Amino acid sequence: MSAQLEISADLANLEKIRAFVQETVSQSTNDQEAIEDLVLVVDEVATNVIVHGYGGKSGSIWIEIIPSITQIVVYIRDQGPPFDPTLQPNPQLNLPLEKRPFGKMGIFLLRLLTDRLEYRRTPQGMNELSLIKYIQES
Amino acid sequence: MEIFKQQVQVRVPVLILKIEGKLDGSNYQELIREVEKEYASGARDLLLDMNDVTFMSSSGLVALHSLALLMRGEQPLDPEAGWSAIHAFGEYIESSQQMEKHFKLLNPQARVEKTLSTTGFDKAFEVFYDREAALASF
Repeated sequence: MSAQLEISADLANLEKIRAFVQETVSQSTNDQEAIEDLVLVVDEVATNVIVHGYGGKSGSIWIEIIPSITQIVVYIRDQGPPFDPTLQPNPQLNLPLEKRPFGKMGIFLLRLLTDRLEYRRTPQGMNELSLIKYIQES
Repeated sequence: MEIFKQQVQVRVPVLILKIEGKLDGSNYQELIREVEKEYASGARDLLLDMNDVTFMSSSGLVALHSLALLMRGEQPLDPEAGWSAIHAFGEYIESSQQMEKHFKLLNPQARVEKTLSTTGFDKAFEVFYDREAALASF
């Protein structure tokens, strides 16, 4: 069953955001690794929206979670300036660790811990980031 | 997040900071400020006990990087720099020729350890799972 949260863009709300993701996704899967990955990546996106998207100004973050048997889709929407994290360069994972470009760690974690990442600017002028995570039932 | 302090005399005096709870964008600066105070009071070797850290985002990674810089006698990352601090970390990891000598980690739980290893932090910081061995390494 899908679930939605609208919450003020405030770092003090990160705990509530994580709890929402944890509780909602846990109702749909027992894939603990997938649950924890999603909690982390939603926290990363929300932090980025709060710190950079809104830059300290007031605003809202909308989170919608749509689970299915094989995957969890999380939509995160905000009204900050357009920002498409999918256009950021990929980390070169084939390089030795000491030579990897470790810029943009939050986006690096996003890519690493999700199976698909999609961005669009909605007709209403919002950023919408879709995080897709495949799940495995034990 | 709560921070507990203990001073232990081994070959050198080692400050053990035990952090409990979640290390995220809302509180990572508290940890940096605490270590700034301790360094100003004379602490030169720091063991961070992460046994009870139940969540850590990339903001926590910025804090760890800052603590390493502080224990080298350098300035921490600028908290106002936000995500750009991550770029500094990239350069830091790439320039790291050896493990930090004055800042080490103790007992990160599996989830936190995954974040450390996927981002390369385990190449910059020695991670111990035995307290006495950790203390003896300073």
